[in-house]
Amino acid sequence: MTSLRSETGSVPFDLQALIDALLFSVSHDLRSPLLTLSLSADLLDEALREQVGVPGGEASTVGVALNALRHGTKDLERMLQALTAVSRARRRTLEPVAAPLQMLLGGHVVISDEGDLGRRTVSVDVLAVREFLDATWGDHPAEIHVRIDGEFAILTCPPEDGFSGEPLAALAGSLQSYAGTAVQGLATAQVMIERLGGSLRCEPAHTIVCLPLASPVGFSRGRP
Amino acid sequence: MSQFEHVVIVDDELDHAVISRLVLAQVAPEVGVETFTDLKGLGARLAEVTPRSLVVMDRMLNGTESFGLIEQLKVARPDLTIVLVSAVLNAHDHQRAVEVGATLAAEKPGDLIAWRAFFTDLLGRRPSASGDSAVA
Repeated sequence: MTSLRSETGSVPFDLQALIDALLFSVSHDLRSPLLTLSLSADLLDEALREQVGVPGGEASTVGVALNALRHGTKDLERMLQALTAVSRARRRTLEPVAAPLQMLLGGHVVISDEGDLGRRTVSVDVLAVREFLDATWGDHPAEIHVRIDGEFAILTCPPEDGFSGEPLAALAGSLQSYAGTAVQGLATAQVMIERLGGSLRCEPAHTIVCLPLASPVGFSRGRP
Repeated sequence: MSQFEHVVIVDDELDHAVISRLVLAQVAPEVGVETFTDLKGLGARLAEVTPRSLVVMDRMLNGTESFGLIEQLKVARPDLTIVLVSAVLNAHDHQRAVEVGATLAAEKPGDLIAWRAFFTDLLGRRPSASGDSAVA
């Protein structure tokens, strides 16, 4: 955990806690005025319906203004939802347990030269990892290659089309580009997997997920 | 027909309180609505609201979380049904709401249609018996 001193010198503060507080306050506090704008647009739409314009006809000034207001609020909402998702991923209580890889990856096509994956266990919060797998590749069984490298199980998963790099960095760098996209889901997964001691990155041809192996006696590790 | 004759809106966001009152007037014009946006002496004023009211309380009031206020109010006025609303809630917040005595915790709906459905649903609920809590 990073601890810094403030510019004024004497008061130490916890950078991670500060980031969590900022994420929560931005995602919560900015949603309130956004909600006001959105509800006001709805009320104006109802009150001025006859002035908004006939569908297919020439848009009135009121109609144009209301549409612009709606588009703006939806775009803001999309970006705030992304911050909320990251905030939740950082604050979510994780309970790592020793989970057999075969069980964790059930439902997908698993390819490995590592022998019986039922005997290989990783230290993860099973629910969090399954949620990520199902949300990302849940529509149909994905082909996942598994190998063991040191203290990690390396999962080579299908790529996210058109994206490579660290999804969290990409989302943080441009909410406008990535909020509400599949990269957002990968970014929140990256947050949780890194908290468990693993990693996630995207390459042009693959998504690489590293999960920490559980110890032979099965005790949990990683940062819950 | 509403299960409640009186609704109290507690929200330091004046716009939200006004819009809530407007929506309530649309979905249940027979229900009396009181809005508390000035938080001065709030605890004492809430302790005197109409018996068996539905209290819809924002989670953040002037930057302070309202869980403690709900807990105190539920002790002083177990006849009230208290609902916590917030722009953002997570599973832990829902749990805390249950623990302090809220009947329900919910994120504020994002559009007018959803607000109407939310209040219609709330007003159709049975008033909570003393000490009962059930969070959706």
